[in-house]
Amino acid sequence: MRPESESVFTSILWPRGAAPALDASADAASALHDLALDQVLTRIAESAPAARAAWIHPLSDPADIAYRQRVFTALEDQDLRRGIQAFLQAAAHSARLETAAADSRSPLLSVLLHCRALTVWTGAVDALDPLLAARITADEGPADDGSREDEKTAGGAPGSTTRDGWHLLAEHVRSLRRSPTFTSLAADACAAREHLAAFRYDALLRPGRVVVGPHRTTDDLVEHTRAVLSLFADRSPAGPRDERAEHASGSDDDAAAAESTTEATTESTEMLDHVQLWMLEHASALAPELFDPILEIAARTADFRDPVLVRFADEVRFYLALRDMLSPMRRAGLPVCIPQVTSAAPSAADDRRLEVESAWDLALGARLTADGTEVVTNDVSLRGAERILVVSGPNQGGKTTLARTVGQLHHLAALGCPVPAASARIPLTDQVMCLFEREEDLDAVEGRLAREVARLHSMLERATPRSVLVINEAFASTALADARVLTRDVLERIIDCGASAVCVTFIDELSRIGPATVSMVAQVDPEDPARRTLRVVRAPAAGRAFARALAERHGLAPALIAEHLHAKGASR
Amino acid sequence: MKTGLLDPVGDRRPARERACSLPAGPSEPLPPELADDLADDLHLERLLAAMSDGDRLTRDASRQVLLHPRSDPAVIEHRQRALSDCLRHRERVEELFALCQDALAVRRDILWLPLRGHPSSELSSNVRRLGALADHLEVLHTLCAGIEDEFSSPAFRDLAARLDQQTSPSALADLRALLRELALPDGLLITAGAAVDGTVEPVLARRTGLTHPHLLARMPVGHPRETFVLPERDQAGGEALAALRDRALEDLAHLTTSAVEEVTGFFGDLRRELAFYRGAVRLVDTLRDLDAPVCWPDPSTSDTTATLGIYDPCLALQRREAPVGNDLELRGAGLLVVTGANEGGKSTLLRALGLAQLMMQAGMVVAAEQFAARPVGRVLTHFAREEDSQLVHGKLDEELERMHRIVEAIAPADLLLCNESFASTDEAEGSELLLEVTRALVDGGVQIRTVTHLFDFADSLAQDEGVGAAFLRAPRDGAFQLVEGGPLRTSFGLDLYDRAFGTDLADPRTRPRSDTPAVPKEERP
Repeated sequence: MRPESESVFTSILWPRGAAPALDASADAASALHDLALDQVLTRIAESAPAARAAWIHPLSDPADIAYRQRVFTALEDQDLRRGIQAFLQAAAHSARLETAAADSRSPLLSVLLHCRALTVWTGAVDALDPLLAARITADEGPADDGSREDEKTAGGAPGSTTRDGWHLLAEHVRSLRRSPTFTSLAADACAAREHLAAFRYDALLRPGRVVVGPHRTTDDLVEHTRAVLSLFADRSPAGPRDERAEHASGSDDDAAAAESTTEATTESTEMLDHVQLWMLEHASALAPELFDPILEIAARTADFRDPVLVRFADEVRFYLALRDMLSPMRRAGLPVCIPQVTSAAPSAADDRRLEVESAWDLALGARLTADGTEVVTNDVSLRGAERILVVSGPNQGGKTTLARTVGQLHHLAALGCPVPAASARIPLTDQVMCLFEREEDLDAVEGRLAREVARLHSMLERATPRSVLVINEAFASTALADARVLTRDVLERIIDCGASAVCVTFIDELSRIGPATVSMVAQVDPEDPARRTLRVVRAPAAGRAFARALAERHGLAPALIAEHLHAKGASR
Repeated sequence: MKTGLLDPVGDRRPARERACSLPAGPSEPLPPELADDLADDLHLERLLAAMSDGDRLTRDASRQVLLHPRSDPAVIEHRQRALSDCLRHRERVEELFALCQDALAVRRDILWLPLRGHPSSELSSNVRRLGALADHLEVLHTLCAGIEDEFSSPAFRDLAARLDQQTSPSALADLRALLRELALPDGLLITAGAAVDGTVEPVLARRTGLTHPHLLARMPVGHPRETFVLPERDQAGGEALAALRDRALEDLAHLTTSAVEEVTGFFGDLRRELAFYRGAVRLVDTLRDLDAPVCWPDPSTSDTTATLGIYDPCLALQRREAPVGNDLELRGAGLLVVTGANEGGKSTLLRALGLAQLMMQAGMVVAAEQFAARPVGRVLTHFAREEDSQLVHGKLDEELERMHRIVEAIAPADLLLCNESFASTDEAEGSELLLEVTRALVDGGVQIRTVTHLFDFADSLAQDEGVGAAFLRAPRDGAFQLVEGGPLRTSFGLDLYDRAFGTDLADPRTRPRSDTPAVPKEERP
């Protein structure tokens, strides 16, 4: 049996419960900016401030990473995703109604808005239970179809050592719904709704004047009209006109679904005009047997929100926001995967192996997908003793993009997030530090160089064998001879401290410092050497890229020659 | 309210079982471009001009009926008898038509009002329009009495009988009483509830009862009641009240809009149907003035087509004279092949056959001394384009593309008229193409009348008894009267050329050698 304390759900982001204090260091924010991950942060911070810390702090425990990865994996299920989105919308709707209730000048209207907020909340929680129960059975397979006790046993069985946030949440929701507090809340919400629905009165509308009175049964004008006019209506079967016909959207678009739900829920918090308010207040006085119970219900249900679920609603947006950001790129065919994050001791032989296929840059991917342009992906690896990727090649050839991509891969993997690649094995990283040329640095050369040196110094001070440094065109403003020496020194320091790095530089000989460096070269289009392919591959940095491109353009590319030879052989 | 002048209403349709097992209802309409081809190829516009005398409504109504042929002989007879009544009682038809015009003018007068989304004004406008329409229904009632006395066709007699109840004085009195109530002279009484957000939810509009003279209740709302009087200058309150009133009147607005649409729709249908009959009457008059014969066609024959003195009415209308007629008896054949000299009246005969079929199946008279034919599903045409202004495709490409569209649309029992199809390539290729298509279509139950120069094609069909084709040949004497007979291996085109240029290329002794000599049948693979 799993210890009971382990199975208590507290947070979908932090399995240990408490979120770390947010030390909003300038370095962390600047790294996010350099990696173009700050846009996502902005999106998340808007909708879920509580998730901000999760976006900045790399996790140190692989179990925590696995926890978040499982949350992401489960959200691939459209039913779960839509269900959670519906819950979030309902929770937000309920909160808006409560605000409106607090703001209302009419006590009666305030009570009605409160009851509505209560109904929406209990409905949302009720809908969450079957949704999550489906997750449990989906996770645990057909072997477990018994009672609740059986499920708990299975959940704690050996084999599922990693705790599953959805599973824990499901159990929380189930026990919440069975608690007496919630049961009576739900009953109250239902009773308030029924009382209001039973309310009927008569009103006479005349120009500038309204009369309300008790409900009496008199002749129905609509039915009478229909009866008289039916004599003339045999030409075509007149179907009832339903202009607000609900179109059940079969679309796969979460955003569209979310939009329509929001639309449907906005009107109810609008302020009631004084004519309708007068009618409501005076007519309700005619039916105390209905409205007195409603007032009592409102009084005893003042605080109805479950704090755990409120926190969940805030934190789960972290996952949804990132998924939302990725979805247009995924629709365009760009791969996204959950990485295998390794965290063996730094001394182990193969501990820092990086192996990524078809990686792409989030920022460029978003822009090119919006334009409908194809995005180039690259493979990246660091094996054995290799620690530093030295990227060289023509300008605008995709070097910076690759460097940023490598940084993104490490940061996202350490957050427990999916990464922009087809497959990825990424070592656990404690921090990603960046040195990018910034707009604000375009002042005097000395000032800029000084800032670069200071920044590099501070980076190397903090670097550990688990750190990743992204260095883009350092020392570009110095003389080549100086830059050669400086860059070499920086790389050697990185090698000494055992950190990983990606270094974009025009000094390609730096890739031959030793076994720790690997050369990657930005390629050019064989058809047109002036065009960049944005493809960056492992290749000796020898300044031969243009020559090879020209050869390919004249049909002398190795692949083409091989093809010719093969064709000739076949024809013989 | 149903008109039924073109199609019998309800269970009165006596669908007679036919051997060719056509559906009793209308066939699926042709795709628009094929319908346009049909109208162009048959010069339908000339016929429509004679029917409508420039009246757009009549032209459109007649085109609609002609291009949607009906194959049920019972429907055709229904229309023939109605047309016969129209020919006999022209003043009554004019009165009815004028009434429709007046009734539809009511709708136009009030149409400028912005009604959408404003149920309150929609309702009051509808009440006015229904009041005006009630007056026209009253006039219709007296006209119907005259129809029952004088007309003999089921179409008109049934219409009068159906309308008798709907336009009766008591029905109209009920309608007018309702309209007075819907003017809401005492205000709008509703039963209401409260929505979850507290808004007033109008559940039902109620009758106040105040229009009833014997009810004593002065106030339709019971006790205890409270009254809210809007302050003089409370514009927001006025708007809120108006919005509430609009919500409460939605059902009534929709109901009355449907009623207005129903009654104006009825008058619109009636006007359209009468416009067609008036056009058919005008055509009969015009052709008779030219001494061109017309006849009531017989759709119940077992033969595919049997006719005496058939001619192209469009040609007659254009030349202002009665043209030469042709006699034809297909004896059940589904395929007619017409060969022979150019300008020998072949295309004219093809158009005459197509128009006669369309006119018969529209319920009109036919331009012939006698005409009997088995009804077909639809009529389609594949005519060689005289000039292809849009040189997008090669000529043969264009023809093949057009034939492809036809084959995609055509159904068994349809009638296809081919005029010099595939003449844009050499004879061997054209013959083979046309033969393949023709055989497949005829085997599939399509009726075909084809005019062709392709000797190979015509000869192959003549040799193949299984196809059971009938043959007509245009003579060389320029008499425009075709005779029964298979294809002749003589090039009338050369004749024509010889006549114009004074050459003698047609003479077998001097004829230049053809590049593609005809291959004897036995040697074909």
